[in-house]
Amino acid sequence: MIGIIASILTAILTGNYILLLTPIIYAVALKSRDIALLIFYIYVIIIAFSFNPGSIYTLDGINGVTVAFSIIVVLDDILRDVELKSPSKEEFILLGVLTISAFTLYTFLPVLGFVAFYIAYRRFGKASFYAIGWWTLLIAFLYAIKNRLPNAGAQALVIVGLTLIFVLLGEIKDVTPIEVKLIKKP
Amino acid sequence: MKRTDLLLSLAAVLSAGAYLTGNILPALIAAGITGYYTMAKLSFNPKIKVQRRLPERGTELEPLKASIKVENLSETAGRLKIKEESEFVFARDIEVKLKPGEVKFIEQTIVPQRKGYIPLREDVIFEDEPGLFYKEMHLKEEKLLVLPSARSIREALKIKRPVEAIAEVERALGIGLETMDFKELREFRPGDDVRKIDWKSTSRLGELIVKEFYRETLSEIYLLINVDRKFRRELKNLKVDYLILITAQLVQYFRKFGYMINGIAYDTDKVVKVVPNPRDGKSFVGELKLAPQKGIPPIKVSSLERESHLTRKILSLRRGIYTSGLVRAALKVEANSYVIIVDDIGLHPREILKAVNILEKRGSTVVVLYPNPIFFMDKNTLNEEKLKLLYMRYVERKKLLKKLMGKTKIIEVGPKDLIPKVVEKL
Repeated sequence: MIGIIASILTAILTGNYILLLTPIIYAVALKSRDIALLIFYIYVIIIAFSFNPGSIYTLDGINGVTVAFSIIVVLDDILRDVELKSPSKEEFILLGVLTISAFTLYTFLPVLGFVAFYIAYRRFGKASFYAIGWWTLLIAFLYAIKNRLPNAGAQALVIVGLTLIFVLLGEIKDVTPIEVKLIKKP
Repeated sequence: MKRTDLLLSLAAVLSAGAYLTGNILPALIAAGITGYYTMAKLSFNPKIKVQRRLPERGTELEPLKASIKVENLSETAGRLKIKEESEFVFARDIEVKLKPGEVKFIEQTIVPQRKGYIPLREDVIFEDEPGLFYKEMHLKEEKLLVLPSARSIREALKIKRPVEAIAEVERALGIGLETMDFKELREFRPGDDVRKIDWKSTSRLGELIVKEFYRETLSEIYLLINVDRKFRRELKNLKVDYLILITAQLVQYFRKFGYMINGIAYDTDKVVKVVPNPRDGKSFVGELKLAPQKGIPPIKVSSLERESHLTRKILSLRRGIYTSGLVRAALKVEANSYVIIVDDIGLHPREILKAVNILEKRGSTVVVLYPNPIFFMDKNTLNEEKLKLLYMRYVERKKLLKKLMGKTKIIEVGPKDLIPKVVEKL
């Protein structure tokens, strides 16, 4: 539920109106989480390549961070089985804070970031601190080498490279992933 | 395809696209997705305790309730799926959501599909909340005692035809086929064909009367009886040995119809006595000096398989060329006779088959009358443990009987096949 509101508010604030398609994924997720995940795949690719915010060091670049945060909140929602029910007290407060903060992008982005990390903390506990640490490291690194990254392509390469380190950190653990079942056997 | 593969491939596509198009948005989304994946993976550390409490016993095809206690001892929330893997029971899959530290009690309905000791194997799968990772656990195999249902017992009783041992023996041997020539009217005896009842005489005299016809031949019958101590046992609380009753009954019956009957008593190793043409059942039993044996009969079934080559060699070295009492008795039977072997097939099934082969090769017709010792057990002395043991032995004996039935004619008898009049006379 938070994902729908967050993506709608992001669409309005950033002018990326494809984000308004989010309710469709939620509607599909009511029927099947796996089909919704496939639709999410296409939806993300469309959003990612239909909007170029330019350099991360500009206001438009901050728009990109906002879009990325709202997409992660949507992903979390659809992976957790969307249910038609009224929001809990906690969700209600988060939604209220998000809506109130949506006057400008400058207020909305930190609140959205906080909501995203709060959700991550509620879901993954201590593991979310690794993500906070990694984001902090990423921001610090991007700031430190601000003058050495001439264009968005170079900035993207740094982000991807640092992300890979975080993925490798996760690989120290051996767990069994679940198969996608598009068609359920009777 | 795995959900994690889908997410990682999306992140890879976005990363490649970001580098190629010089766009930071795909790179930021890819960073978010991989971050989400890594957090889910690092936080997945399930510790689940599942305890199932089964009732002491169940009844075939009747649902029973098992209580399952599930406890999430970890910080990982998720879904617990419990699936019963045993093919001998029907149980619906259980799915329950578990928060960190949560304890839940679930009721599981199990419908046993067969009787006996049923092995139960439960598979437990714990999935994390986003459905990305899972852990599979196998619970320790448990056994459930399933008793036959009242319905299946009733059905079995309906199917079970009352055995008329002597009539069955006569039919199996095919001795002395009746002619159309009328001989006499006589009172009905158990084992008589109901179609032979003369209803006019029955209504006149007020008791069942049957028509008797002359028979084509009066063949010679050999009664081979195992008189080993292992075999003869006490019949419930009557203080009478059931072997004595069956033997006396057989002699009485065949003598009544004028057959020549010869008795050969044998034990495990030798022929004990040969009684040619006894006067009646009582004198035959007297001549054999059969006395009631107390105690529980050996109900364990011996193997039908041949001993190994080495065992045979050792046995032949110890006791020379071994010939059992039953085989020795079979060798004393004249060719082209009718032979009734009264023995417990569970004691020495291979020796019985050997004797049957010898007799049949010499043109004799053979039938084995098999008093199943389990039928003769005193039900008042049974307890739960003994009942279980008897049931297992009963199943073993039924399997053996099925195997032997393909090779020779066997008639299984129980206490109901004993004629009360013979019992009284003795």
